[in-house]
Amino acid sequence: MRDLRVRFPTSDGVVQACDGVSYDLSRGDVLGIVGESGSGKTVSAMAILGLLPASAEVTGEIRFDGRNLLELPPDELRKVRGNRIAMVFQDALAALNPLHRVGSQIAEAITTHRPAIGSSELRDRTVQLLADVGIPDPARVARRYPHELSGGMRQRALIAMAMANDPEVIIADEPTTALDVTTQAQVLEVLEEMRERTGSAMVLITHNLGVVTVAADRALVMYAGKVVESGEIREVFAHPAHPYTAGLLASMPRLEHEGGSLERIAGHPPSLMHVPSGCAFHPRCPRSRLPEPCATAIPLLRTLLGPGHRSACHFAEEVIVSSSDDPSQPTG
Amino acid sequence: MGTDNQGRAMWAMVVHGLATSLITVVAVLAISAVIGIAVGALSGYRGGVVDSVLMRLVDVLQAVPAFFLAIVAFAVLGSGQDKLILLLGLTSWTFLARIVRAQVLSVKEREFVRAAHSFGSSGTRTVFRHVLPNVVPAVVVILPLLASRVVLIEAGLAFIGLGDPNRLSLGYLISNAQPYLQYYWWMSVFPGLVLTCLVLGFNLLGDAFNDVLDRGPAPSLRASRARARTRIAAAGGSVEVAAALD
Repeated sequence: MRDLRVRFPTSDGVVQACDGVSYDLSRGDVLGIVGESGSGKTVSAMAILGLLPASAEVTGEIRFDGRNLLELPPDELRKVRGNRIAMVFQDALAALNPLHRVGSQIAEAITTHRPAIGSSELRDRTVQLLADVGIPDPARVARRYPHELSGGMRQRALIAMAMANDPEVIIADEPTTALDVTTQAQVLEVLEEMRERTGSAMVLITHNLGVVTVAADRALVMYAGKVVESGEIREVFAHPAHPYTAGLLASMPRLEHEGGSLERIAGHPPSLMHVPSGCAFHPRCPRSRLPEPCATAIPLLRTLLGPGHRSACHFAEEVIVSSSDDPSQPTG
Repeated sequence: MGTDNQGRAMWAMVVHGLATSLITVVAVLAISAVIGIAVGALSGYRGGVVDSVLMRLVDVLQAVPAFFLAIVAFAVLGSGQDKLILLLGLTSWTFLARIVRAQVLSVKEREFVRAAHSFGSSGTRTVFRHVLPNVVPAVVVILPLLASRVVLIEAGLAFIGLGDPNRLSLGYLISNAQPYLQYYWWMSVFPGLVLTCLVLGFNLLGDAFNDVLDRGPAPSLRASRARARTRIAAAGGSVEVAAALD
């Protein structure tokens, strides 16, 4: 993905939901995209499959297998969707059609791309997929309606649907957010297992840092539609080079901190219609030096010491040093 | 039920009149359901110019009251049940098209429609498999209301002498009984009662569907919207009733 920009013109002004997002994803890679609500992480993923509303203005380049997905004719794009790139949605109850049985919805995902498949093979494949995602008694569950299943089961069924055609890329948009904590861990495990079995790459979108640490190899931190930090997951979390990442990490509850209150990032994420000048994070940043340079110059994403560790902060080096000194930060 | 002024059995005539009403209703509903759902789905799903053109057509058709259009048409062309069915079928779908369109607009924003797209489902397939089945509840609630309107229009036309001359109609029976109201009360009361029960029955059926579908597994905005629309439709329906009985 190169320099993806998504704008939504509205009657009140233009919403810049995604502002120059770039990343690479190779086979077997797991990229975690982290950010608050409204940071543009979901929009950037929806753009990959062309699922944004018609009013969205999308520019940039999303190359998949040598072809720019943004310029693909609708028929060609449809062959990619669900077949080579599949999506796992956040809310499985909403993403499954309430009127069709779970099995028939999975079968539909298969027949969409393999219309010639025989009915017994289709049934076997459907049941096999449900078994693969760890659903007990898959043949019976296949005949159930979505509302008859538990949240974890539904999410597994949705993963089975996404895996139906062994996609090369899985986009998981907050796949565990709607679930309780124990189920979250199981579903993540299933997702990871399925991914490893097929060797697919995955884009994991979440606001839960714990999820990213468990599942991802690399992390991309987004704020107000921009990438503010990216790099190897251990590197980013051990030595955050952007005050926003540092703030997110400090606001996570940790076992070794008994009692006391959690740190928090002051203020609210900005409206994407009125993004602050210069560095979008400066009004909430504990380190901002005003007015120069934070409120005037837009910091560029630049490479720091570590391999592939990039940050968009004017004072990234200082942030790294001080975060490494802080004993409360997790190391590695 | 006795006999009429010419000695014909009232019971047999009421049964045949009821049959006329029901045949008309079923045929009209079939025609308007097909056209209404097709136009509503196309309009709601496509949006844009298609939507504007189709909805303006609906506006124009809805501006013409079916009852008076029927009077004019039958006065010119002569009456007949087939003509009545065609005329009502070709005019009353507008009501349904609006409701289907509104439902499609809300259903197509739901996550599973986006999910279907993300799995590579084509537009047509998405509409038939994911959008329309979710529109059915609203249609089921509305159809009985449309049915009661059709019954009243059919009976009303027969009452003023514009019914099919070859078929008995409840409206004709009531009109025929007028000169004998003082002497043979049963000539007007029984067809009138059957007509009332039929219309009331359709309305209660609509309410019952509404209640049942309201208690479905996913009570949502959809249900409450359908309820609001039913109320509006009922209000609109009663205006029509007034017009039909004038």
